[in-house]
Amino acid sequence: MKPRILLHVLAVCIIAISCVKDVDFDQAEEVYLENEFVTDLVYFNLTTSNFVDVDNDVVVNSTVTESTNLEFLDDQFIQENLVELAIEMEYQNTFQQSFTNRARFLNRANQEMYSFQFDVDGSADGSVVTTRFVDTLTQAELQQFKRSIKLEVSVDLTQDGQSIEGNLDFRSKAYYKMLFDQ
Amino acid sequence: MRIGAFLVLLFVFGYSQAQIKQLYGVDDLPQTLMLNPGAEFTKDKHFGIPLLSGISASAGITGLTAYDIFKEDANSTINDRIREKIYELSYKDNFAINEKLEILSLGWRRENGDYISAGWYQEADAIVYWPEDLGILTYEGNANRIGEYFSLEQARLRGEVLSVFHIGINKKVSDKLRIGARGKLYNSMANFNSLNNQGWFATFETPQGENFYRHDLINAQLVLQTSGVDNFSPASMLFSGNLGVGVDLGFTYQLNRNWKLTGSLVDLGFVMHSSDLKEHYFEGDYSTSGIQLIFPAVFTADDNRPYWQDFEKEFEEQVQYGDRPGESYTTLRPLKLYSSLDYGWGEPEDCNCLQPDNKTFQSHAGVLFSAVKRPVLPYAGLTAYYDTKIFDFLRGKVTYTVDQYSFKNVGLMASTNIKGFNFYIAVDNILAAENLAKANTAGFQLGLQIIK
Repeated sequence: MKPRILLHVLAVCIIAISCVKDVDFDQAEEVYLENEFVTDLVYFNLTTSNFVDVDNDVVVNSTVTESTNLEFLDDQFIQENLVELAIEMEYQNTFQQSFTNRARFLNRANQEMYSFQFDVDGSADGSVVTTRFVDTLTQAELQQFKRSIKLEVSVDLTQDGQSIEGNLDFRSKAYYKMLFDQ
Repeated sequence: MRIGAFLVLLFVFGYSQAQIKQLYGVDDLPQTLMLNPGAEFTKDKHFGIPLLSGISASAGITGLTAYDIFKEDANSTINDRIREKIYELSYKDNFAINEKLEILSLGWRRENGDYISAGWYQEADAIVYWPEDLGILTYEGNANRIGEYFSLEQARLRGEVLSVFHIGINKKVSDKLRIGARGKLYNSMANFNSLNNQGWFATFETPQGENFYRHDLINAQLVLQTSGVDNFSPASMLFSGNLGVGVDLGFTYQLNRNWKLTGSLVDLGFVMHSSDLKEHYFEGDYSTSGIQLIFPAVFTADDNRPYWQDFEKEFEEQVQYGDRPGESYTTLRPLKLYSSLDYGWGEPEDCNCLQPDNKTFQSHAGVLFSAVKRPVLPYAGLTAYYDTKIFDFLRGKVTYTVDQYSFKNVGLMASTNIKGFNFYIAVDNILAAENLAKANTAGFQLGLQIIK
C-alpha cells in the first residue's frame, strides 16, 4: 500500500471514528443558577432615655425614627436577579408598654416604595418578651421594593399611663433568593 | 452559549503533558529526545519542517465529562446534572490545558557518536482547580450553610505562555549506559499564578449577639500574580523580560541484550518574573452583624449618621482589594518524570553505520511510568506498550494507560519515513474518539520533518 494512501486512510479513519454523540449542547440555554442567602440588616437598642425625660418622668418622644441607606439594593446584581425576599424582625422587650414597629423602604426621593408594620408585645413583669415578625413579599411587592434604597424604622410607644421603663432590643435579617438564567 | 459549550468540549479531551507519551522511546523520532534526552535515537540528523514538526494540543478534566452535563436524558434536566456534579467535585479536581508548537527543530550526530539536538518551541499550559467550598457557596448560597466554613485556599490556578530555546546532547558513555541532558532557556510571554491563597468565610448564628448572625471574613489573602499580560505581543516570543532556565536529564541503561531501563526528568527549571508585573488582590479580616442604628436620647439632636458610608468605610479599612504593581516572583516549571522498562527483540534490517554497536530492534514492549508535578496532587500514570516496525516505512505503537482519568486508555502512534521524509501522528485514548463527550482524557501530536 502506498504511504500516501495509508496516511489518507489513517486520517479518514480517525476523523470518521471521532465524534460527539448522545449530547445536546442546546441544553446550555436552559442552565440557571438559583441560590439563597441570609444576611443581617439593622439592629438597635432603645431604652427609657430614648422616650422619656428621666428627670421628670415625662414622655418626650412617643415615636422614634432612624433610617439608613442600603446601597446594595441598587446594585444590578440585586435588580436583575432577586426573585424572592423575606424580612424577619425581632424585638425583645422588657417595657411594660407595647410598641408599634413601622418599617418603610424609601427611594432616593424619600418616597415610600414598600412598608409593613406590626405590634410589639409589652412585658407584664419586666421579663423579656420576644415578638417576631416575618414579611414575605409578593412578586408585585418585590418589584416595588427593588426601587427602594433606604430603610426607615419607626417605633411608636403605646402609652398606658404606667411608668415607662425598660429595654427594647431589635434585630433584623433578610432572606434573598437569587435566580441567574439566560 | 451553545457555541461556547461546544468549544469547551473541544478542549475537554486530554491531559496536560508537553509531549504525548506514545512518543516516549520511539527511537527513530527526535521527539523522543524531548521526553528523555538520554533516549536511544538511531538516526543521524533531523530537521523539522518549521511550525509543522510538532503540533500537540490537549486538555483534561477530572471529575466530570461533557456527557455528564449535556447528555440527552429524558429523566433528568441539565440543571439536575449540574447540581449532582457540584456536590461530587472536590478541590482536587481540575481542568488542565496544554498546547505546544515546535517552531524550529534540528539535530545532527557528531563523529564521536554524540547527538546534538536544538530547537525553539512555544508552549502554553494552564490548570484551574475546582474551588469546592466557594463553588457550593456560589451555587447554593449561605442560607442552609450556617456555621460552615468556606475555604478561600481552594481557589488555585496557574498558567503560562512561553517560548523555549533549547539545546541538548545525547551521549553513549559505555556499552550499557547512554545519558543525555538538555538545557532550556524559558522566555515567559505571560503568566498568571494564584496558588497560595488563604482565608475563610462563614456565617454564624448569634442568639446572644447583637443581631441574628455574624458574618466573618477570616484572614482572607487572595492574590493573583501576573507577568507579561499587559505587554503581551508576538514580540514577547523573543524576549519578554521574564526569563528562566531549566534542564532535562535522562538516561538509558542496557540491562542485557534485550532489556533496558530508562528514566528522565523534564523541565527541572524555573522562571523569574520581574517584568510587567501586576497583582490582583483581596486581603483582610472583617466581621459584621449588620448596621447598628443609634437613636438619640431625648433632647439630643439626631446627628443624621451616614450609616451606609460608615459601613463601607469600616469595610475598606479592614479589607483591601484591587490591583497594584506586583512584586517579583519565581515559578517552577511543571516537573515531569518518566521511567520505563523495555524489552526489545527482532534484528534491524538497516545498518546504523555511525553507531555499528547500537543495538536496535524491530519490536519493543514494556511499561512506562509517567508523572507530572502539579500544585495539589501529582499526575501519575502507568502505560504498557507494544511498538514495532510494520513495514520498512511504517512504525506503529499501541499503548494502554491507567491513570487518574481512565482505566481504559488505549493509544496509537504511527510514524512513516519515506526517503527521509517523516510524518508521525500519535493519539491518546483512541477509544474515546468514538464519543469525545464521554472522554476525560485524550490527546494528539503530529508532525512533519526530515530525518536521516
